[in-house]
Amino acid sequence: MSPYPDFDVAAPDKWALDWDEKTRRVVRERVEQVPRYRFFSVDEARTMEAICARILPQDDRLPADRVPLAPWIDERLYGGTGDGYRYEDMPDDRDAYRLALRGCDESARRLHRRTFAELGPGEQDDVLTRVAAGEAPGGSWAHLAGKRFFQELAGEIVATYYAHPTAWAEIGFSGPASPRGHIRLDLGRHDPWEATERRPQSSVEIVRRAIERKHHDGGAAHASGGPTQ
Amino acid sequence: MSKPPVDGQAGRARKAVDVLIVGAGAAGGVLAKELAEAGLTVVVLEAGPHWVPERDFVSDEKHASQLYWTDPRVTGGADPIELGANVTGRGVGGSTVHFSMVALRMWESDFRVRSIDGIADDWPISYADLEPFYDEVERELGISGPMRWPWGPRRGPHPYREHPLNSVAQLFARGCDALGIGWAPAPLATISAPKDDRPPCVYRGFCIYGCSTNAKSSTLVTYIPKAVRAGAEIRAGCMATRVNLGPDGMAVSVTYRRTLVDGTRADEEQAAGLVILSCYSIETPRLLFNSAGPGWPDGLLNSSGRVGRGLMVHPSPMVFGRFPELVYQYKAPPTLALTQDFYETDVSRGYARGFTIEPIGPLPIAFARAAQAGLGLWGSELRELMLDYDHYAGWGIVGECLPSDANSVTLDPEERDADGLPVARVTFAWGQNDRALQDDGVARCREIADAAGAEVTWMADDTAHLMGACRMGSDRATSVVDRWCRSWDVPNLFVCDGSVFVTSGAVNPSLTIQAIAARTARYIASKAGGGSPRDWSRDGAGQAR
Repeated sequence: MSPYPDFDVAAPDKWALDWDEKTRRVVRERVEQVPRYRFFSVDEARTMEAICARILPQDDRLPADRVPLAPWIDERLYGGTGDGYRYEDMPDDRDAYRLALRGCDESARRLHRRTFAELGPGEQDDVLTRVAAGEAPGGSWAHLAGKRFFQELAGEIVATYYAHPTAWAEIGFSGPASPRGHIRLDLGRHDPWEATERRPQSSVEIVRRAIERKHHDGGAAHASGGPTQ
Repeated sequence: MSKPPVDGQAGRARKAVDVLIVGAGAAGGVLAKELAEAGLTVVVLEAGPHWVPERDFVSDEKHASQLYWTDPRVTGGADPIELGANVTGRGVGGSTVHFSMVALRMWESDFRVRSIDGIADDWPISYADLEPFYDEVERELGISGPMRWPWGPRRGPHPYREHPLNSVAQLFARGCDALGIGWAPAPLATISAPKDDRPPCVYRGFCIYGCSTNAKSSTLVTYIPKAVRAGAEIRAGCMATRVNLGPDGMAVSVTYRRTLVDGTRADEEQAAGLVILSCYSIETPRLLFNSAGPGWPDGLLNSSGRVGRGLMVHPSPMVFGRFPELVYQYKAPPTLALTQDFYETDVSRGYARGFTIEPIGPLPIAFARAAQAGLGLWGSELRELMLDYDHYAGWGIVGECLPSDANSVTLDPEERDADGLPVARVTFAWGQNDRALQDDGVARCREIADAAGAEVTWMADDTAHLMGACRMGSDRATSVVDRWCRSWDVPNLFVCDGSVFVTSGAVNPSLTIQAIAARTARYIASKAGGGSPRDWSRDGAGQAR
């Protein structure tokens, strides 16, 4: 649960003062105009949504309140825009995603006898953990470096989620700050229009566990995740 | 292959200008202003758009992808470099519209690494050669920094007062103080008081996504407007595809693809008395390779075989600490303090050269990606960690990378861009020294975080800045350009950008790129004698000393 339950990065007064017109336009489009699928097939979209729901779970929200993730990946792949480079051991982004979605289904069938989207959360995490470790079974993975792809995939999902004002409010990020800027820069101080922490919590234990896992198995494994509290 | 240009100049060169500069970034902007103000006619070709910050720079991490070079490239080798956002720019101002503004000089020893450390190579120029141009560029940009600088060569105060420390810099200073490590407020290319028609920084913290208030001293809002006032033409949306030589072996023109209003592309050609390539460490070699022809089978200017060789990138791993205090790491410029206590070789450390440590203040996407990659986190744990975003502060190194011939830019044998031109292939692997230096840098960063009171720390790998791939030198057999950035092979063709670096130094390279450009401009203007530089062949290739 967010430490900043009463913070709204897009509250009307902030929206008016901290958002210049062009930023308002870009973010409003992102929130209101979620693209329809044009690149993924119906089956691929279902698998992609299932993957997004494990990499960035939003079980704590009603489906209508969840930040859409897979449609934006579809939109980017449909438009063919890249980030400016391709790893020499990776195919073109579009081919990589298609191969990987097929690969997730192949792995799911081999390990749990169903398609990826049909698996339970624990089984899905099992498949993704193996993909991240470069150890997923299935013919498609012979043509795609799973470890590298998982990094790209997780990076894109995470980047899509934390581009949304819902995610900004949840983590206490104050947003565009243009043109108002910030005045109180000192440690422990914040401007009245920034988030106020109501329910302190700490990530220390999560980090310690993650580091322990990294040391234990070279960083590939992942503890199965449940819904965010 | 391409559509005829609208103005009907296909196959014919536009009216010749004195100087044609390719690339309107850190170096191109400086060259354009200085040469136009010296009375030369100047055209600058820029592949990307001519930004208007108030109109185009959105305060949004994701939207900023418009600022990066996102045309296809291939990256490989044992340690492939992340290209795109990390190390490239596209549009007038180049990557100075999204750099972190840290304006540090290289040290005297940076130019003499072979003499001092017995490795890499010496530059053909010294710190003293660049010093007056560092001064000049710092004044022009209005660098804001401390009165006294505790490291490196003796120097005067920065032109503008330093910025206040934000919370991350305060924690960094606290850690350094506890350990007896020296630190100083960071000199930044963002103004702390009004300059010309620009207002001072308001500490929004969106600096590396394009400054929409114009406090940031990118070349887009400093050198370029002055270049235009002095008569230079900035021709945006023009991607240079080939440097053309005449029968006498001199550069005569550059062919480029212009993006027309309707989105179609047309070939045009601009003739010039002198051509300067300022396209940075990937596109400069690529343009030279794509300009291969009779007499230049391995690429233009490549008689030494050094074009594309010796590419360097700064190792810049980051360490983040979780603090009991609320940090709000996203406010103000990301780097407001730094230390250079570990800059030069210390034999007790077991590796050569060193690093600068600089605080950082990633916005949510960058922080989440670092946590994902650094900790291998995903799922509900990643989302939970992100709820703690406001309690983190981090710093990373800018570390020296030793040059290696194996680290290179070449043309990909198969892949073509939308115009049908071969794309660049970047091949990179860390050397043993680079790795040892990174490990030690990370250890120092952790110590500072621990001493500042971090409850837990974690690290994520990263790289920053490109340098080299068309190095300067004093021997034409082992370098592409001479000490004035003039090519050895074609007397009226210069390369002036970060690609001429011989070694990487351990500072953000932009100020040095700009000082080198200011020096090259002075040289060209003095040789041209205020007139036309069209007779450059007479004094022979690269003979100037």
